[in-house]
Amino acid sequence: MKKVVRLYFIFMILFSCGKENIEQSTLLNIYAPNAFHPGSKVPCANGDPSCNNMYKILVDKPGNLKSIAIQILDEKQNLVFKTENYNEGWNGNIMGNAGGTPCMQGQYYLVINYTDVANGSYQIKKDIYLLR
Amino acid sequence: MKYWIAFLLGINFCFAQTDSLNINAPWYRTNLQFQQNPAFTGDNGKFVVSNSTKFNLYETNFNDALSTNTSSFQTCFKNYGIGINYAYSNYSGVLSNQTLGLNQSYKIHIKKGHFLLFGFSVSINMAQLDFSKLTFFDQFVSSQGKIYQTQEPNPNPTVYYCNFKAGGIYKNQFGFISLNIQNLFEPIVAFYDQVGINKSSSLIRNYELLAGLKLYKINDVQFYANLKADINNISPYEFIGVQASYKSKFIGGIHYTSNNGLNMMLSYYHPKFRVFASYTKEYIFKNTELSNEGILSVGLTYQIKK
Repeated sequence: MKKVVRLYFIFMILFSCGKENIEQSTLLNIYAPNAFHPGSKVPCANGDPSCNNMYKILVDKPGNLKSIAIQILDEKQNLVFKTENYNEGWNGNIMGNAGGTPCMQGQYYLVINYTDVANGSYQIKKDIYLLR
Repeated sequence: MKYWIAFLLGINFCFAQTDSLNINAPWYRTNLQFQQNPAFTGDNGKFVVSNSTKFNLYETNFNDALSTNTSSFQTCFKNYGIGINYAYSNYSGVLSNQTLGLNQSYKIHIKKGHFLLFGFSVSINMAQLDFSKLTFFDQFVSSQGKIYQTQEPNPNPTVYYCNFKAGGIYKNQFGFISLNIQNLFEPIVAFYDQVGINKSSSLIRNYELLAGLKLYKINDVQFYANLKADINNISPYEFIGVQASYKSKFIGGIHYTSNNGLNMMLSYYHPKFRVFASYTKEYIFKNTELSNEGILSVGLTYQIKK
């Protein structure tokens, strides 16, 4: 029994060494929320009526951004949204099609690959939540 | 008493290991089959208390991983199988799901070595949301980052719903094929849309097809062919591939997945301590090169034989 318990803890320690990409560009900031609600009616501070009803990111100093690719994947790694425009948001439908098939409430994965004007390439990965 | 302790602690007791799926599809042994397809209920033998712990890592750290822990009891009387299962899934501490299910099955003996099984399951579910861990777009300001409280109203933090599954299996000594229907009546699971007027608030009906076939054997290595398909209109998924088992201890497999990926599985079963550990890594193809952006899944099952 002791051997089994020991094996269990070895197993847990072995797989607790996860990877996390934390290095980001110093020339710009990308702020990525982790939730949105397609039925939301909350406007942004600047009066933009579509604030929390789409999944969007905020880029600080966008002049220092050379290129960006945003992808959102579902739990089975199927691509549900992609764009190369940081101003474009995801409405919660498959591939963002208006009137398209709505995705289910739950956890999704955000992957952002971007390059700054100094040709540094960076990546952001995080979980996001679609709420219905 | 010790079985109840095992059930609560997440330890797997197993009095019988006669499941033909272990022969025809060893990759499926990492899961508790009857929780996916209720037709498997009782098919593992009499009085089985089991547990499975699984983590899905998406290149993020361990604490943010989706973890699933399931405990179950199942038994059979002649051709009838009954079982209960409890499952807890945690999505990074933000979303969680708890399920308590009741399962039953019936087995029909067609002829020697050929069986048909049917099953039905009903479950009570509780979904919970920790609103304090969410950040919305309206909280951010350029050059300052997150400075505001969200204006988003607090949703209902807990949602209860009933769910139903049904399934069938045909199996013989060479293989099996199984079909089950999950979310049979598409229950509404929404934290905001409580009145359920929005179709998108429902869990979609999913048809899961599974098949396993025993291929040839070379010395102590047995080869298998496997197929799995999730059929629905939002998130379809298929994989097909082969596996090899060495002395029923070491199992390796490779599967091609419909999201243009390659799924590799390694597992080890220690017969003396009844420990079954599995490691699965999915690689997604990108412009003909293998990318490292797939899911890493690790699971652990512990069994004690009487």
